[in-house]
Amino acid sequence: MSKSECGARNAQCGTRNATSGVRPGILGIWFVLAVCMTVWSSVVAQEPNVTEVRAKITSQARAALVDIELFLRIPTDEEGAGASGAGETVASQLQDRQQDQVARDKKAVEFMGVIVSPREVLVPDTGIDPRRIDRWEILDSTSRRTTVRRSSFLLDAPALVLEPSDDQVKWAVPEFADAAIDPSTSLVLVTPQRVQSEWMLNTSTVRALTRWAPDRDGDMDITPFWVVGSLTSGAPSSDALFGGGPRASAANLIFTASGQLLGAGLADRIYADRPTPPWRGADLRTAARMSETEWKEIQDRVRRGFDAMSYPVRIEYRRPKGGSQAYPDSELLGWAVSGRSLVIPHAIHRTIAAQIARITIQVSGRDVEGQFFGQLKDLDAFLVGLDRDSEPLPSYSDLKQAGNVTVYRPHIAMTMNRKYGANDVRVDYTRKLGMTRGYGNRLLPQFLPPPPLGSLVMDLDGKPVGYFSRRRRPMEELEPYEQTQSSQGRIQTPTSNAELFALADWASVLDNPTSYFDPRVVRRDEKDQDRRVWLGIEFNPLSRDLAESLGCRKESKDGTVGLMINQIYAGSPAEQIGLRTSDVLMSVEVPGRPKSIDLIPPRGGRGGSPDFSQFRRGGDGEFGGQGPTRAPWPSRNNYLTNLLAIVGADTSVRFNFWRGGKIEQVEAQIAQAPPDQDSAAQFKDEGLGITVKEITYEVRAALRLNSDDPGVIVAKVESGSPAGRARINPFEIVQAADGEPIKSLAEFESLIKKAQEEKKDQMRLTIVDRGRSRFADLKLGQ
Amino acid sequence: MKLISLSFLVLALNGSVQAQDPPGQSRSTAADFRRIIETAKGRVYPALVFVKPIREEFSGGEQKRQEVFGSGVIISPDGLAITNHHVIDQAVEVQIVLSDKRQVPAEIVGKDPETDLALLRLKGIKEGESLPYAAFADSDHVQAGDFVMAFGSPFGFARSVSLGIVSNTDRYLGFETKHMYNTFIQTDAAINPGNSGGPLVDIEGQIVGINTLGIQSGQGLGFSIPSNVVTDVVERLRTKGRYDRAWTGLQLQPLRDFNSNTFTKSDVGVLIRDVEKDSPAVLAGVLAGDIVIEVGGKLVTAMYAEDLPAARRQFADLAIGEPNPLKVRRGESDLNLTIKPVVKGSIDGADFACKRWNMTIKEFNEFSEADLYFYEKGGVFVNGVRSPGNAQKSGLRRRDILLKINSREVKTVADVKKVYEELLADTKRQPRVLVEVRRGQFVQPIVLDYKEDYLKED
Repeated sequence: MSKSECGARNAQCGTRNATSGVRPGILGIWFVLAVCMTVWSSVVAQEPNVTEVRAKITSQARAALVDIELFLRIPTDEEGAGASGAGETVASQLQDRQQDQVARDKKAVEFMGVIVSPREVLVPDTGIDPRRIDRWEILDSTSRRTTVRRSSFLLDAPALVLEPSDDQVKWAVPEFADAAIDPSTSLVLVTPQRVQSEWMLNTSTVRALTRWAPDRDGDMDITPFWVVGSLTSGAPSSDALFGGGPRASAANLIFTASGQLLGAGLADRIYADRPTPPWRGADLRTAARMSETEWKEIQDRVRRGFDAMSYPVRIEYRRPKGGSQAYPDSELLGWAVSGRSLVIPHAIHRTIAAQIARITIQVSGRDVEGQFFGQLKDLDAFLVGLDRDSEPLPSYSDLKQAGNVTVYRPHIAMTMNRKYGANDVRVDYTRKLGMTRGYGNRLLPQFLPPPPLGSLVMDLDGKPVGYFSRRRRPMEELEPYEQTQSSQGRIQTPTSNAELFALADWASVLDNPTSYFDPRVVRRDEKDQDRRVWLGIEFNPLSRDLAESLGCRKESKDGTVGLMINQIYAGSPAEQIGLRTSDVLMSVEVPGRPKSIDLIPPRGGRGGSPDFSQFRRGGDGEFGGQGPTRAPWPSRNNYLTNLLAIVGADTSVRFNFWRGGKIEQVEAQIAQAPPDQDSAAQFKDEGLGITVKEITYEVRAALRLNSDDPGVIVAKVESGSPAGRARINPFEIVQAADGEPIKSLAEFESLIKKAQEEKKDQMRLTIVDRGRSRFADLKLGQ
Repeated sequence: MKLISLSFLVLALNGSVQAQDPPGQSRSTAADFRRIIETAKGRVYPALVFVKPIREEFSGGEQKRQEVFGSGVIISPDGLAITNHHVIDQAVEVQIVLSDKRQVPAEIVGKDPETDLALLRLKGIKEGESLPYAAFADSDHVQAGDFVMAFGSPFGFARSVSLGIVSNTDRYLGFETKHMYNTFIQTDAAINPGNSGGPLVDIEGQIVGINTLGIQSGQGLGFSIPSNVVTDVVERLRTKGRYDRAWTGLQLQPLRDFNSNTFTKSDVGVLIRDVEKDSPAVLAGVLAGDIVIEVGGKLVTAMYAEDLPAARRQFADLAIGEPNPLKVRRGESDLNLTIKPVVKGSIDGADFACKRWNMTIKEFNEFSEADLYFYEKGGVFVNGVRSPGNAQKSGLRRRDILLKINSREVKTVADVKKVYEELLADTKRQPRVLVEVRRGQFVQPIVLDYKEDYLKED
């Protein structure tokens, strides 16, 4: 668990443990101006009629509250809940599993509801997925059970309305008073709390609070309010079911100081002098409701509307060079936001984006060629689209019409996927409760239940209002590199930074998309897909003794930090900025990152350096034996190139390095590297059983070849093939064919083609292995 | 075919061997065959010697002294004996057990690592004494199928004889840097470690070869240096104490190279596959791809790989430092060139053990370590690091080339030895020294920390 999560949870725990029952909850801590709460008994102790008032409150509470149990079931796959989809988070999967367990154990989730009419009980809407509800039961004082069902929910407060299944049942409705309140009024709050297997009524006095923080428009919000809510902050849905056992939720009752029942606290806060969520008894009875049937209709309507503007997208990828598997084809559902752009609600990694071979978008049953537009910088979604000259998409969401989120009101969260070759759209409902503090002290909307990551949030009219996603941090891939040695390798990703990105802001994204895209996530040509960026050095780690002899034990943290340069490639940025061998790069400052990154090369292995002790010419080295057993050049896939790949080309970074007994600084422009052996152009002749690559810069440096020395590198030889029989080995150089120097890969290819066309039997190749050459006849055959 | 790991037949004996059943129930085979064997045995047996050198080995990063066992044969009445170079290599003392069970010391007259032969002179022999010796046969007349006997001390079982036939008379085993100048007689006579340096004898009782190699995992696969090669080497070692070969820098490839299925259209000469940089051949103007047809005025032909040693001998026999004629075929034309070879350096570099550093070092040149020479033109490399040990702990690895120690350049074993001894003598110094090594293309500084004494007995 990350540090920030931990902090949030502690804060929750603290408030939950407070006996007062008042939960500052979503307020956080720093902006609460005053919390005035006193245990009821100490207040009433001064009143002569304390016993009387207490008795009055207790009896009214007993009349108003009912004990309700909710039993869960495990939804089927068809219903969608619990099935793992791309929109789900680890936390939601964990929660699903716990809810499954509760269902299997046939344990009940406890509720305390408030009777508002003869056939209606309100309970807090804890966001349990309706697909998981098996049944609700009411226990009366004699433990008799009556079945109730969910008939509707309130639109302006997080509450569900339950009604008895039996038409004959009618409850006695408590009497709600209608006393006026003003900011000076103290209210008495009765908070039912589940203590082990019993409900306890906690009674407290609450006074009005004033929030000291800017509101949405930036003005100071000084409206007084009372905290009466029954739902907590943090991860509210998990409050109902987290930690393995059933938890409990209850409607709070609100009384005047003299013991008159006024209403119930279901929303978090109520206001005296501005529109407030319903809380008075009368208001609760008449508050806007949405019935289950209406809700289903809306769901279906919104889903249908969405279906019209979503299009299946298929992305195919090229194989990375060097033999590994191609990334499997992605089948996705794109959401059209203009006549030619679709949002894909996933992040795409830069290395995978670089390998995109083809994008097809299914428009009215027809495959249309698509393009990769870009990965959004701030959130986990990328855009694909159609060429300018393609026919525009028949329907799409008009983002200019995007609405806003209304607090407490249910919204629809749509998670779009392709599954089993068909659209898989999951519809969840969610309410915004308020704001909470997240990563970087950012105010984040708090939703109950939280919508799945990557879901599109719509209002009940089907108008898109937001996209729920993790907020990406600039160059967050560098975070593992910023860890200290002791914790390196354990990648820590704060998970609590999901937020709703208002779609009203997205219209500008579409007007000028490139400024919103991550410039490092681009599709590349095949020849460039595996190209690296470079500084242009090879290095060795330090050791403590070496650090001591260089006088940089402190700077190198006892030799754990630092890359000692042992090679500078010609024409590289390193050469241009005057780095030299024996300089020790200590750290790098990357724009957008809060602190410089210590360069801590991996230990234990050799890193990218080849093991020269293995470099023996094997077997009969005279005329082509086994050849070198490993490449006699270092792999360019190393710690530094991987780090710089994240930084990306055309970025200026600053290196701190050790030279001559002191730290110096240098700016370096990270540049696209020339091809290396992993990305070099190659030519394969199936018939001859040979694959060759162009000689790249690191090979020239390692084998001490001049830039104009001819030849191609043997990458692979099939045993038993003509090349295998000629005893040509990988890592050797084919320097000439029939005495003709091979100046390029293309020339080698054309020489072979030409010889085959001329029906030559064979070609005499000059093979060179580390300075020694021999002849090998390559039989060209038919 | 990949060359199977060939093992030298020298043996370090350190364990007991199980007793075997006594031989010979019935000896009633054909009497004449027995007589043939008796005759042959009678001629060589008295000349057979058991060679027991004390060797100072450099292995596993340490210098170790141990007694090893090999074989040899006396080839002159005044006490010259022949054995393998690898038997007496690094020997600090050589003891010989004669057929009459006398043990005498021997001195090394000369050694030739290229053919793996060494000539010894027995000491402590009585004045005027004439030792029994064996004569050489003409190995050119040996044919596959001939009966041969291997004499020697397999696994230290002195004075053993085994019988077999010649399996092949012209086996080419050229690999890496060794066995470039001779082919081998292959035999199925049982040859085991300890047979090294012993004679392979025909039914006349004459030496046809010196047993040198066996194949560890194989059976009936032994290899002997043919007697004609031996007599040539013996003559040079006896007169000069060493065998100087001419070096031209020409790399040869046979015209019919079955290994890489590369066939050159010519019935004479030898293909030049490579001309080494800065070599006499470069000065002579020879190019890779040329076919040399005459060397030193004599025709040369290497049709097959097994012809290469003979061809190499022709080049090696050129007059060193003198202009020699060389006739070269380039395409359609023949060129008459002149080559001035130099003397070929030793393939056997000097060793030294840096004891406190727990590593051994060795000098190298282009002939002994071509791969290292590619990166550094000669010098000293780490031949072994002891585990555990200071060199290993500090990150030195086998085959690192030493460039500088304590900022002083080291080019020879003597250079290293000097710095090493100075450093160790300086007791005030921190036991730590900066070593600059070349590891392939990279130069790397390493701090060698030697405060721990790994060889100290607890």
